[in-house]
Amino acid sequence: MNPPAAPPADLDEFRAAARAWLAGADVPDPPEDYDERFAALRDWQRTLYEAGWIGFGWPEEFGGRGLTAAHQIVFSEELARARAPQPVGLIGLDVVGPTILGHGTDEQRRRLLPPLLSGEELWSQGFSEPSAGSDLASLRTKGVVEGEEIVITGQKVWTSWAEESDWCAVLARTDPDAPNHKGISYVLVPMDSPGIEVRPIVQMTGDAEFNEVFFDGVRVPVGNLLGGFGAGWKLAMDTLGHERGRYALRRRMENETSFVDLVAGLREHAAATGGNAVADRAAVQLGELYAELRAYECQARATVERIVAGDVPSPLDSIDKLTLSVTEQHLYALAVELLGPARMAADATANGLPAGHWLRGHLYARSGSVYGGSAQIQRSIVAERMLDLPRSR
Amino acid sequence: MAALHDDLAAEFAATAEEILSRLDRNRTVTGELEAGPFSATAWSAVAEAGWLEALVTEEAGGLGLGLRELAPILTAVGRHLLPGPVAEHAVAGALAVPAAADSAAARLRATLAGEGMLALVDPAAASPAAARPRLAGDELSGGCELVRFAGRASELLVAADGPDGPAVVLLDAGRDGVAVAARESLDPTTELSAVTLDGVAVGADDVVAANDVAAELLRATHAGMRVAVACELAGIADHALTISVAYAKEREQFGRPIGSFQALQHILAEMARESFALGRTCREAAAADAGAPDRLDDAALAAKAYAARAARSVVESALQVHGGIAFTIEHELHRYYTHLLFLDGFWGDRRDLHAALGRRLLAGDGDVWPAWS
Ligand SMILES: Cc1cc2nc3c(=O)[nH]c(=O)nc-3n(C[C@H](O)[C@H](O)[C@H](O)COP(=O)(O)OP(=O)(O)OC[C@H]3O[C@@H](n4cnc5c(N)ncnc54)[C@H](O)[C@@H]3O)c2cc1C
Repeated sequence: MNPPAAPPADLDEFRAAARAWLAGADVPDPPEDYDERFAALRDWQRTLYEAGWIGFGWPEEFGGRGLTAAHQIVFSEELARARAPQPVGLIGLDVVGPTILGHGTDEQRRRLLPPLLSGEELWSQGFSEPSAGSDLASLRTKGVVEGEEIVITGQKVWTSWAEESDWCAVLARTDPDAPNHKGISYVLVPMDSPGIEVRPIVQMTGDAEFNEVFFDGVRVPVGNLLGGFGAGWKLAMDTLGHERGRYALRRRMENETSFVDLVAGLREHAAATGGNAVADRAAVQLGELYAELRAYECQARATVERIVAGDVPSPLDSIDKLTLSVTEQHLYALAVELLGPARMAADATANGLPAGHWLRGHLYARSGSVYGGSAQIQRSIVAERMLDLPRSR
Repeated sequence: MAALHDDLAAEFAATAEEILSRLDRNRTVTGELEAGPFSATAWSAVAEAGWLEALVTEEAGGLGLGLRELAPILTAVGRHLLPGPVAEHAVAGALAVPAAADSAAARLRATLAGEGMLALVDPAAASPAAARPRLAGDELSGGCELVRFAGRASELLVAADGPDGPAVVLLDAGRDGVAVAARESLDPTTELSAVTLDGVAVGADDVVAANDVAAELLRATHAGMRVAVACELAGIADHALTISVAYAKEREQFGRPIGSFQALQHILAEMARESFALGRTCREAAAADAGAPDRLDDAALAAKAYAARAARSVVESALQVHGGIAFTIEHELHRYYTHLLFLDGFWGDRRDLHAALGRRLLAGDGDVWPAWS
């Protein structure tokens, strides 16, 4: 495939070009069913890649567009404006991918990044374990070096999209004698390797987005190590920084779209019933939520500036993650409140809002203060690394 | 262009910090502030710095800057709790200059240069629904319950309703029929007065703007005042965070700094988050496109609403972090808190603003999420 013509670097021209392209694109309307939705979004990522609308901040030699994170955010905004979904491979694009780009060898980058961008190869992040959640550094999955191979044995849990993924970024303890943080390595594991078993875990939303992943003597070449032995903790912090900052940017766009949908539903209902959709009290709450979401947008502009300037990871990632979870939880909680007693009836519509959709969104939003490091962990990071407070004991 | 504005804004912020820090250390200012909520010395320093004229267009003889460049100054004003009607001059007064006829423009410019003072008599400062004074023939009657520093004003800039639409009128405070009654203020950095206008004679030269022009001017003024108050609140939140973090490192209990207790760390982290988000919100709102009033209105409402909520949460947390000392009249925090309570109710309390935003969202079929700039 010939690479498509480069989009304009000037941000206003870029926005206009993106808008024009999206206006003519075959934008999918993601189905509610998890598997169908996943398949549709994967096709959508391929379409974006083939037309050159993905990987803006990534170098061209690795399949990207050689632009900046600011272009990425403009495109995300235009996706939202066009009512188009974000691409599916977000763990690759926003979480693990930037770490590979920053710390991989040229060979690893050339091999791994183009299919990551196209959605041909999807990624998952194998960090958490049953006994190592917030205390990630206590992880026990072993990586034993045997000749030119690393043999991985252990268990990961809550691994999102492990079942759909082709690769997993696994944290494994390769030096059991080193202090906790020092003995960990970051290993890129093909998910079709013998010895891997994935067991989906059904979430309270009904989707089985995350999984248990068992590694039983899984062999990967030493060349799949990212950043050398013992670099795992530092790289994990890099990846988590991206998850808290970059992913928060994208998720914010989805929240903005959801808010616009919420208002559209209320307006349509009001028009159809010829009256006030909701009471005055709800107007006050809606206005309050709007102000909070706009503040989140303003904060996100700082994130874009930071990423463009190369100031990542940073304790500000944790500030972003906190704002994401708090604001998103307020958004969906208000929707559920507006649903009233119809909230638990999956196929009901109340005040113009489809109950099933908003309830699932609300349930998912509750995980925002847990995944990527809990809100408590983020606050401790802000306290110690940004405010420079003495370590708590 | 954006970068140029940001550089200029950064330069203003640095100068503002420097001047205000110098004033903080100035004995005369301290003495004046101990005697009451105003310092003539500080006020002349502010006028001399040219801040009050920043928004006056170049054609009208000013600096021709925008809210974006003024925002860091107003934030510094909040941070240093500089008393005085800075926003009334720098926003309302400055925006009125280009509309005013020569003699009124000259009177306004004089107040912005520090010769005399201006009070803004606009009931919208207290409530969006409050009735304006009425201009009938050449007489102005009505009033405004709460006007900042009206007792010191030499000129009153009045938002009124005329027979065919709104009017903006400039009155010298000594004119017959003008009564200014001081009210006790529980905010030690604010003076409040009730202003009554009883058949005050208005000449053609006193009318700064009428009808459509006045409506546009008032709209820009209201938005500008809201952004200005939001910036002051952002400065207050920033200062409350700074002193709380410092105190948490220095105060010890149970043999260690209280800042090492996780319960306090998490309060402080949340303060940092809200203060950061507020600072960025003010910056973006101040950069909203003044040429597109819908966008500026929206940005100003949202920024002021968020500011009231975030700054209040930050300063109330600061009170908690400081323990008993914060409750004393000697400690500076109570001044920040009471001024914050005043600002929360100034130019629309949070509930009014939330209601206005919510009604706009529900009523129209317009853009739910207008770009601000
Ligand atoms: C939807 C979802 C998707 C996820 N996806 C992935 C993924 O793809 N890959 C992956 O590796 N992981 C993933 N996770 C796991 C996630 O990172 C962990 O759940 C998280 O780090 C918390 O760990 P835990 O669940 O073991 O809770 P715990 O660590 O047991 O925490 C329980 C509670 O204790 C609190 N707590 C713990 N330690 C402290 C402390 N020091 N101070 C104060 N409070 C503390 C926590 O804040 C929390 O409230 C996902 C989680 C969710 C919910």
